[in-house]
Amino acid sequence: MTQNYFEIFSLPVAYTIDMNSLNQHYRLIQKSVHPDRFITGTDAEKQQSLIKSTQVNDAYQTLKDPVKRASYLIRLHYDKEESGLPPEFLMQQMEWEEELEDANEEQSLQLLSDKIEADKKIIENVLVVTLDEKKDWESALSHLSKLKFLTKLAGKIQQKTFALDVS
Amino acid sequence: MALLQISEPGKSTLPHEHRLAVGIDLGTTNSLIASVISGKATILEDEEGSRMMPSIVHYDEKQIFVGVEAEKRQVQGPEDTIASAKRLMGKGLMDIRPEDFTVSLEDSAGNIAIHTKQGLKSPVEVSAALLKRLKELGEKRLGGEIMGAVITVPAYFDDAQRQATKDAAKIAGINVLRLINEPTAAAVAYGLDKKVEGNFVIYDLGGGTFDISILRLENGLFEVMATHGDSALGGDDFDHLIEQWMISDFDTPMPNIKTKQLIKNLSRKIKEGLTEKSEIAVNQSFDGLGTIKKTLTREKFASLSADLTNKTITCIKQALHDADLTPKDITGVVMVGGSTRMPIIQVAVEQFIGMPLLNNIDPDEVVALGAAEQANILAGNTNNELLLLDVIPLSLGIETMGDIVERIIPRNSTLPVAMGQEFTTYQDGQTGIVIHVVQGERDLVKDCRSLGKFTLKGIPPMVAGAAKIRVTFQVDTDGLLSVKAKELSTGIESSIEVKPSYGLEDHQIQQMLASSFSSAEEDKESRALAEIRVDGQQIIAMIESALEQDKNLLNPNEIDHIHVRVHELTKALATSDRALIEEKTKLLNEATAAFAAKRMDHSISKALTGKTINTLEF
Repeated sequence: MTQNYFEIFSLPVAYTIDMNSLNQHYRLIQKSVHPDRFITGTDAEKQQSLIKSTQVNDAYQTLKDPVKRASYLIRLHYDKEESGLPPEFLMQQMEWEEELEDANEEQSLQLLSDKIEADKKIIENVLVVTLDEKKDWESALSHLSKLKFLTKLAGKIQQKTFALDVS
Repeated sequence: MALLQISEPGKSTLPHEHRLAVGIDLGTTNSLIASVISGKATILEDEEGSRMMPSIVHYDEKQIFVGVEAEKRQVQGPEDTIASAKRLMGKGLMDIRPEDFTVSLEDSAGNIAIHTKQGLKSPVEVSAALLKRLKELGEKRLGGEIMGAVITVPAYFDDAQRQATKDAAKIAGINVLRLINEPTAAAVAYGLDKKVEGNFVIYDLGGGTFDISILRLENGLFEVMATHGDSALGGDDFDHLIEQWMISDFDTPMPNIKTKQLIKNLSRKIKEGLTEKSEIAVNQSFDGLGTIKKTLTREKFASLSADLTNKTITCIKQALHDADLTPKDITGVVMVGGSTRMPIIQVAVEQFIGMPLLNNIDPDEVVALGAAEQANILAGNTNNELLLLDVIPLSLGIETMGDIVERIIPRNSTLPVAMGQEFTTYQDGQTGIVIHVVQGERDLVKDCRSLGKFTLKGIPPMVAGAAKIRVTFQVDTDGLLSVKAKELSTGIESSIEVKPSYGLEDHQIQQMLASSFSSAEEDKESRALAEIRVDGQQIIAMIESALEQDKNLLNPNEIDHIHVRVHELTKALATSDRALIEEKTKLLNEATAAFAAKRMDHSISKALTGKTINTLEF
């Protein structure tokens, strides 16, 4: 497939995405290409169906996820993959990590989690402007690094919450 | 759906014929076979009218007894009777508790071998014996040869366990249409039955495994959103707790294997009894042990097993989180597996989700019934457009420096999925690289399950770091991994030698296959020839029909090329030269790869635009 991931789903190449169309188109396409449709087909059909179905899954997972979608969109337009973080964000990172370390009950973990989710939303909104309006890839990369960090942190908070649950 | 009329070349190109397809639930405790008969999924009963076959195999010097016949011999000869073989599939001796088994087990090159009066047997062979019996039963009931089967596995089965199941089917002479996850099969049974839409939790507690799946059913699409579970937690563990409670007053170890088996059986009966009654009294003496006189109440049993029950609730929480849902988003909870009959389980799940449970289909039969529905769809016997999108239950990773796992395919990725990774050499002139693939969620290699070592060979000699080897890890819709590698600077396809950490090698499977059929050599040869001929004829029919429908997607040269290959295969089919037919079939498949891809692209654009595209006729 020479189409980019957006084209596969007949969607405009942009960070802002119509999730309903993405989901709907994804399902329609899988219904046409999934290996289960070719169980009694020729080997050539089985092979092609595996390749296509895999590609479509990959494209879908990329576009569905805000971090992966931004990263993919930047890659389509810009050669650089990484950007440095501003020093004040590095300070903030350390503070968050400390807060996570100190949070040892469900309530404090939930509080931290709410804070992180709110910050994620803000950055996603900033990304809409930098990617879709300004098309400022360099600045988008920096915001993306922040979003990646926050997403990872949210995962760590969740894991700690589950660990609390089991013990 | 009229819009997708030509979107399924595999299904629509051959004239309709009903193909006998079955669903098989290969369970830890019991196994079932079902098929769609006159539009309805139906359990196939044996000669005695039994709907379930005990998953037990007994070996004596000459014969193999399967199912009820094996069960009858269990108390007399527990050391030659294998139950719960499913717990041994794809495992090494280190992964299990040998004392849970009445047969004697030993290590055989990393795999488990079982001592029997007919020599060492692998768990795969034992499962094959069960599958073979079910197949015979199915063919008898359906009155014809079974074209293929959907076999269910616990969602939490890893690659080695899935491969072992597929190998067992191969040895039993069964064409596997698809391995599907047990909870998914159960959801299919409910979804097709009730025609409801929404998010479902499938709580599956079998004899030896526990799975949670969260599925979304919408517009004829079943999407598995998350799975979680524990492949070493099941109803057997609840039995085990009762066993320990019964013998807790004795200091002596189990005097003999027969007493052990009797106490095991009694424990299960007590557990089952507590489903109806609020307490069960035991007053029985055991050879070499003494008299057990105790009463187990439901409350006591609940407290004994609280840890196990809580473990399953935590799994639901994690699965809901992975699916990004809360209990409020759930439309229904489906209970699967005989162990969900336990009232303590039902109360716990109902309390957590906050709604009554769906259990109007027999929890012992629901998996086989769903598998039969899916087999019927896959075989092309129905117009039902239901599509299942399942996920990989455990992350795949590779070993890096310092025994750290680098994750390449995260768990809960929708199948099929592939991931590419680049490797390089660290020594001048290095021509090989070993990649160790593991499965699991932990960070250290030793905490994950080793799947195998892939040795890349034939890398062109270069200075260190100059070679760029692109390795692709592909997981197919059965959840099985395959690995491909290519050196990028030269484009040379590296060969890969796989050494699985567990499981059988191809030649071992061939050997078992040969020994399971007693037919003569020439029989096998003529059977193989007949099969490959039928395949060849079918491919020609399918391609000709596809050409008739879609030749406008190709230019005249491409059409000619396919015609040449069809002609060559037609000529080969007139001979009895198996190798030649195989070769020409392969060439025809290669010649039609681009055509198949174009037809799929065409069907995609048709599905997306929702209208017919007018194309030029040549």
